[in-house]
Amino acid sequence: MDVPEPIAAVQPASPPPLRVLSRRTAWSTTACLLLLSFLAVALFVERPLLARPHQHGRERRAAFAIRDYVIPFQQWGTRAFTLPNLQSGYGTVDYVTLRSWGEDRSDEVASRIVKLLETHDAVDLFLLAHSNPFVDWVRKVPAELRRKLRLVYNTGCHDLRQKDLWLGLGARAYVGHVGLSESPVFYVYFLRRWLRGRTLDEAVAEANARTEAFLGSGLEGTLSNPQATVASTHAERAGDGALTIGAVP
Amino acid sequence: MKRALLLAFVALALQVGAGLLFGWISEAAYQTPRRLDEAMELPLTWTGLVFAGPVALLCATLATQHLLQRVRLAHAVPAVLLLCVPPMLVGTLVTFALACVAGWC
Repeated sequence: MDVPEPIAAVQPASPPPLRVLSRRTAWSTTACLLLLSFLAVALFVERPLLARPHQHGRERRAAFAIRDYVIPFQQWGTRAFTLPNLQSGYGTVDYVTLRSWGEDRSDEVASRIVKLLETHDAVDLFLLAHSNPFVDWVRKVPAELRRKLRLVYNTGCHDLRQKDLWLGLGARAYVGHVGLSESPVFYVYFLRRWLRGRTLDEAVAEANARTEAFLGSGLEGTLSNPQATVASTHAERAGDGALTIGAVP
Repeated sequence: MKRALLLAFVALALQVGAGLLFGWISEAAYQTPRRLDEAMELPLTWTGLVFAGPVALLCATLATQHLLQRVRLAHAVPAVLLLCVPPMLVGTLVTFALACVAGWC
């Protein structure tokens, strides 16, 4: 009878070596991740603009911005972006946020615009509101002062149709959107380029292209039909396309 | 490991905290009656942007470096992807937003 051989004692396997990166490789990998993050933002959101906002003649121009009654978060975000940006390119900035829907502050707005027009060579208007009646409000400004109105940018849906009214009031150029628009996206790209001295046509064209890229990329996930939104967000210029922020009336 | 996780959670907490701060600022400033002085609105916003942007980005970067250098790759890679890359991306975006409103780029 065979005697079974004793089972050989199993030697415990030696633990695998700790696979950690060297200090240099860890830092390099981290730096690559950081670089990728910056590239992602630059490619999909917005690229850095190296030029600083245009300063020449800054004290001679003013900007007036008005935000309509929307949810508090949007009102806060609009002001947080708009006010410092406008202040970087204009000598004086006045900013109004409406406190209720359909609120008529035409007298107050007109008088604040008059004050800017009386003390500056040129005033640009930024109408950050859904389809709006501000053209009727500004009609209350005396005609001789309205000649100093320069750029009027209107985020309102379909408000490109107001172009003749604004040019008739005395504005030198008008930018509006053709349809139901995601104008806040366009506005961010447009304002940054306008402040840096691009001509109005250049700023509108670049902002349209960036808006198309952003909305078409699917990053704005709430859109059911991005291509239709891109088409209706398209902005057009009426009036002087060669206008720049530094132009004197 | 503990230090890396702490840094990653600090980065995430700063960004969540800034989001809550922005929500509070907007409610306090734009609900009637206004509960936040207009002069404080933008400085508070900028403070939030600084913490959610460059400060959180620094924390996420240090956490990533610690994890890669001190923890086995099999554990470090998923930890970096789950805990460090999201605050790094958000931190980059917020830092860029901060630079934009400051007129630096």
